[in-house]
Amino acid sequence: MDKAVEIKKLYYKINNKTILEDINLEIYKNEFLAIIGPNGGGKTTLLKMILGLLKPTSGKIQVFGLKPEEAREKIGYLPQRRHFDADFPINVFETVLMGRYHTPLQGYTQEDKEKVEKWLEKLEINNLKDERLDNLSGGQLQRVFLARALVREGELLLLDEPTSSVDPLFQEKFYEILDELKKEMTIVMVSHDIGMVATHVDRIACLNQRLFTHGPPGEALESIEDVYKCPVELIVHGIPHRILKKH
Amino acid sequence: MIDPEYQFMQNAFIAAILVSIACGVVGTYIVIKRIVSLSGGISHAAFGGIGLGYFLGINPVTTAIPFSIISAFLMGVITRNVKISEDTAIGILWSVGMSLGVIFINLTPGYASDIFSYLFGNILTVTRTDLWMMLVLDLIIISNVLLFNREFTAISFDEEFSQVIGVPVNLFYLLLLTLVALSVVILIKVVGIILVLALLTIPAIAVRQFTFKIPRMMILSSMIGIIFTLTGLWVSYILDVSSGATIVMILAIFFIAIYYR
Repeated sequence: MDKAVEIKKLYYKINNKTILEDINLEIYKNEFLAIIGPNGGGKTTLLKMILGLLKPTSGKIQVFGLKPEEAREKIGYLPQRRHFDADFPINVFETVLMGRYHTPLQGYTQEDKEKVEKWLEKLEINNLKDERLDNLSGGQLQRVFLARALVREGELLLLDEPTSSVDPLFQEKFYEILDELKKEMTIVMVSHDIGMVATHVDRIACLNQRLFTHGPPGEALESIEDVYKCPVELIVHGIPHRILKKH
Repeated sequence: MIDPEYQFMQNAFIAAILVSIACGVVGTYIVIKRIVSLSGGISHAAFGGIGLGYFLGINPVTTAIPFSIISAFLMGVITRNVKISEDTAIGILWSVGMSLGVIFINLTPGYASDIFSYLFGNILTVTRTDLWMMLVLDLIIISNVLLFNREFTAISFDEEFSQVIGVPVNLFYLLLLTLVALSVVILIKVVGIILVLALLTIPAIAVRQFTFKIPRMMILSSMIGIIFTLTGLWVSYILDVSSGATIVMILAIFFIAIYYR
């Protein structure tokens, strides 16, 4: 199978503090991978490495066979923390349209605007398109930024805590959208929402400075459940996170 | 022959319009990108360029152009790459630029008579040559904004995401600071280096509550700039006080009125 992302012997240190250690990971095309792990375990850092926003201290990272920064046009990204002023003079439509940015001197086309409409509709925020961002709730804002990532319609989608602050009703809808999307693109999602993750993703990786990949989550969980005969609450690799199957 | 006093007033009138355009357009970015203190640093460092002009015996505003562009670049590069906090770097460059200006003036034989007008502005000293230069700089600013508003808006809104979608963030950040430097040069004769910041920020921040469209913010704050610069000019003429300071005071009163209305 073709690889979307290939990471080999990657290390990342800041001020001699190791953040990521000996990361080896291959993400295949059209795979849906979830990365779970404790806060401060390096999940966001790893996503930023895939985007080329941070450079590894050592090791190799390739995205679609290219350097990360050269592959950016194929990547849609939902950041966890957003760096912007809530009262910035911009509305929902313009925010999402930014996700379609081409190059300097090349404006947004009619197609770009249609794509924005399409994703606003899919995420059920079309009625908000003229709203200012500071009039939105946390959950609505999250959908706006989700739309900004999806409107790229790239080949790789990187989602950092996508379901935080959205209401449970929308979460269902969101995973339906992802189920549809994964037919066409590779999805990497950092999440705490382990229950949902387990029922939708192809593979789970645990990251706490070091990375451990598991097989298909269902299989992994079932075999553990067989042993314990109950819904699983499990500590893996000394990492205090829980893997719960939906029940 | 035109009456000389009339000529002064006519120049002042045109100058008021030209500075307000620069303020409205660049000021909008300064406010939304929150680079007010950085812009203050650029404007004060431009005093080094004024001093250099005295030293070389040429029009100080001419030397202020390259000098303020260089200090804008230094600000941009140093605040990003050196491991000291941004406001510290701004503070240091701010005073270093001014010190250079003072030393250049010390080294220049004779008495720097009209130095006060570069520090606090005097709209009545604006010459035809100054007006032409201001017009050209205004046109440079406007054409850059027309071409690159998308990029400037993107990096003002969210730099990290801009990088992800392929905006050359550092390039446009430096270009934006260059536009700030150019608007500082446009403003020097009118309000002076020390008062520049008021004109660059007050009109933009005042209209912000009336619109959330960036182009509209630019146009509105330019218009407000024109109205209040002219009002300030008129008041300063009647009271026979400094035009730069009067314009700033008028803007401040307007801002307070609009803010607490």
